[in-house]
Amino acid sequence: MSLLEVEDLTISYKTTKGKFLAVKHLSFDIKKGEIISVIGESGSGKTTMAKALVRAIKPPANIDSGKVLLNGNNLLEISQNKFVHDFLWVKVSYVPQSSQNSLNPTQKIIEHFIDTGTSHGLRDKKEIEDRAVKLLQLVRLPKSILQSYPHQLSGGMKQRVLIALSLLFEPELIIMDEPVTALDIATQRHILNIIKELNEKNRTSIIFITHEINLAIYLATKLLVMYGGELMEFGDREKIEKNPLHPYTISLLSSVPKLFGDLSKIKPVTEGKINSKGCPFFYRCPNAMSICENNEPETYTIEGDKVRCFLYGANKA
Amino acid sequence: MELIRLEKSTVVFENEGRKVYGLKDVNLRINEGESILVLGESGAGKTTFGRVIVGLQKLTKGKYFYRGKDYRKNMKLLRKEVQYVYQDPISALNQSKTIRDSILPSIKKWRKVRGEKLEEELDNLLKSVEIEPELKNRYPYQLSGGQAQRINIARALSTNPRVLVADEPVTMLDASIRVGIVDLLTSLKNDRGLNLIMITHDLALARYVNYRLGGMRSIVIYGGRIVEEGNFSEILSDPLHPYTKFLVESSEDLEGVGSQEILKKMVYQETNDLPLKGCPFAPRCPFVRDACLNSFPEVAENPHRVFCYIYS
Amino acid sequence: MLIKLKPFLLYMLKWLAKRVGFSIITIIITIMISWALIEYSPESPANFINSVLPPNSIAGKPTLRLELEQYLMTLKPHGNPLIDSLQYLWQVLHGNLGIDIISQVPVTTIIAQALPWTVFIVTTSILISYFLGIRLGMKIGYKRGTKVDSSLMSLFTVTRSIPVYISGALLLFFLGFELGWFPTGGAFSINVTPGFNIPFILSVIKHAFLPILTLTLANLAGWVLHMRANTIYTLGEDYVSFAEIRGINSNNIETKYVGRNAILPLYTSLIYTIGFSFGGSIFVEEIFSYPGVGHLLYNAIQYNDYPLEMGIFIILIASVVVGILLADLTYSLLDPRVKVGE
Repeated sequence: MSLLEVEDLTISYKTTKGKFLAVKHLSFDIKKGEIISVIGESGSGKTTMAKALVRAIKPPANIDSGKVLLNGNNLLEISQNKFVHDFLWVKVSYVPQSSQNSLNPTQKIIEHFIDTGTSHGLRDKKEIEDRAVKLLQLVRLPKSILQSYPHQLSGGMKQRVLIALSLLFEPELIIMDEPVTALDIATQRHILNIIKELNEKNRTSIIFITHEINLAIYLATKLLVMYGGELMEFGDREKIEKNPLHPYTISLLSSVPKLFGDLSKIKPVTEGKINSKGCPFFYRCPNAMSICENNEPETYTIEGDKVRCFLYGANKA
Repeated sequence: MELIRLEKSTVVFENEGRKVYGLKDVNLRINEGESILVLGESGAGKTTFGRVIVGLQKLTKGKYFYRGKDYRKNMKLLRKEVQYVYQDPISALNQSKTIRDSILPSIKKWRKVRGEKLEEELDNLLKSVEIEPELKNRYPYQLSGGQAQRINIARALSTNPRVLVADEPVTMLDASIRVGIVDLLTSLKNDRGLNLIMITHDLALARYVNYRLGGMRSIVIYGGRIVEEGNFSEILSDPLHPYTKFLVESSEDLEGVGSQEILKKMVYQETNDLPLKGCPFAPRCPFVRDACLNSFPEVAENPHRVFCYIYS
Repeated sequence: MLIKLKPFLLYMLKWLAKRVGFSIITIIITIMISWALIEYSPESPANFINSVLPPNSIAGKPTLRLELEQYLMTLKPHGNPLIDSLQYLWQVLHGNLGIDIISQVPVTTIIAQALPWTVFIVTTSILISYFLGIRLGMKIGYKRGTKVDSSLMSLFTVTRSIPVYISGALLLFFLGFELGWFPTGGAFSINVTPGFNIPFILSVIKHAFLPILTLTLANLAGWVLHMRANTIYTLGEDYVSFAEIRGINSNNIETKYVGRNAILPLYTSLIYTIGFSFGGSIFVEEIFSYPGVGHLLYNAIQYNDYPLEMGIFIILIASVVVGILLADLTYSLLDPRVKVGE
């Protein structure tokens, strides 16, 4: 039984040049205790997708179709009141990008916890403060920082505050959007370990969004590879790492140098734009076929993995 | 032939009445045609280092000689011969000008080309960075990150430089195209005999640069100081300084390998204030001893250069 | 912490001393320059008195002009702007602003009578326009891009460019003369006894209403437009969108996240404006014959009554400089990111 199921999610932006699809017919699911790393480049729709899961899509963006089922409840259909009261932060929470300034500069850290707590039905401020102290301990921060203002904390400390904040109601699922980008290596590692620990101790499911492949692989049990708003490949991390199927995944993995292994096989993915008609990867794909230009491939299931590529279809050219 | 020489180069920044070393007592010689890797994290002083080399940052103390002449008296030559490639490719370009208008004045000035030849020169320059000449009428916002960075490199090349300082040139780009830019930089180095000074925090990427150019010298910077210096592959396989070990082990750990010898001993702590006295890594170092807090160690050769009391 | 506190306190004290010192020097230099300007001016109070007095009175007392000029000489005995202004400054430091030429009353007495009226209408109008402007600006900022936004924007852009002497004259004409709702001059009715009694207070409010309304309208558009721009900027900040993602209720977001951060830049302008507005009330006081320092200054300039002019200048200069100093000192109380001294 899946904790969260995303079904056929399509999100569009209205621009001066017309409608632009940021997420196209995206389907995937996450089970309890899993960590899914969502890999995608700029323009892959990964942040838009993440925001849709917490209903944070605002005009000019719009959810055109699809379902987001959390324990069977379609989050996109229920009333805003019910969503905020029963689901948001209580069942599913969100950690924003580390490069952003997501904390209010004129509020102390404790006030952030209180605002969040009271917004989801926790009335007792003492109780909120007690929880905050415990959570800070979990992310290895002293409780004294509750009385600090955001500017008095380092980037790494702020990011750990955001993680602690996301845990206020011990949600079953946390969506993390680039939570360690732009932090130094020691801080990055430290935070990744906190996330791992969290996942192991509480079996909290995590959707970890990143454009750094090594971070994605380090943390994940499953990988979701996105390009041009579409799912390219979705499956077991180990399997995809060893045996990627989609030409995009294959080129992506062989474009990133590692500390070990053969460097002679490393080569960049051809630069190019996103194809808006057929397969989005068409212009950059080493295996592109004529069918890919104007036709969208279906999602094929190959040994439990989902791949969206004509190479694996019955009607391949 | 010596091209660049830094002697006890020091840059001090003031921040709320507190001193911070951007660079501290850096000694370094770079010969003509030689390329180096500068390794370190943000805040380590590697950007200050790059800015000093191109003459954008004045030294507080110490000396910097370019072609044997003090940099302050050599600005004109520095402007022409030493060029900088920035981390953020889009914002490094003039937003209100087309590519053509950003690069042409520089070609005119430094290459002494006039008239019809000018456009031809520009087209050739763009081709040399693998950009279609038709793109020259676009504005920066109409470019992808990769294209913008190639244009930046073309702009840098327009002066016919001898040295290219590339400060994290691919960090802001999509992972899939990063090595493409590295390929371009390294082949430019080979074709034109440039000195490439590649600044990066990404050891795996540095390994790739080293693979492309072979046997590169590298320096590791922390707290404005050079803490280790030597052949890159030696530093990677046998890091000596505890900070270098930490860097290498952290990167190894992400790939699920490595001994974690030092990682296990290190207690994570926030380091906003680096000590002004002694070794800057001392507050985080698991091998710290009294001497580290009082003075910065002399260099030891063991087998490559390292600045740490463990080896002296 | 204790070890760090001491150098910080020292640093703060040093900064404070520097700022106060600079403020005093600014005031002194401006007073000296103003004095020098007046000394070099070809105008003299004697010219004015000569021109308005009936010729037969000069004929009857031909020495009047001479007497006046002799008296004026005692005000600037050296004829050297530097020495004279220093001498004047010395007197100022002793609280002596000289004697008014026309009425022969000490300048300090005249100003002391007029100043409270100006302070009253200026601060009241600024506070009203500030709070109203903030509320309105924020509401409009929230409606950015809508028709309401664009029409109110054009309205306020137009009203901002209407000078007070036009809006004031119009208000005076319609509400004062035509409709007779409000008195057309003075600070209170002659039928009430000044003091803490209800008829007097009501009369004061009635007389001050139009001047305050004029000044409020003049300031309001600026605050609205400024606050609208800040609100729109703040709405785009990451911490606002993260608060929305967290499901914080919208009233909370409006006050604690958007409001507070959007108001910060306006706070400094508020204090500055209070300083600068004393100058701005000259026209309004003149139009409504309101007995404040603006009215006083207008007359002083007409008569070339420079002891009085200088006295009022000093008030204006000091209020601007002290306002700026106050804004700097208190800004850190509002914005936790700014420590005194930055």
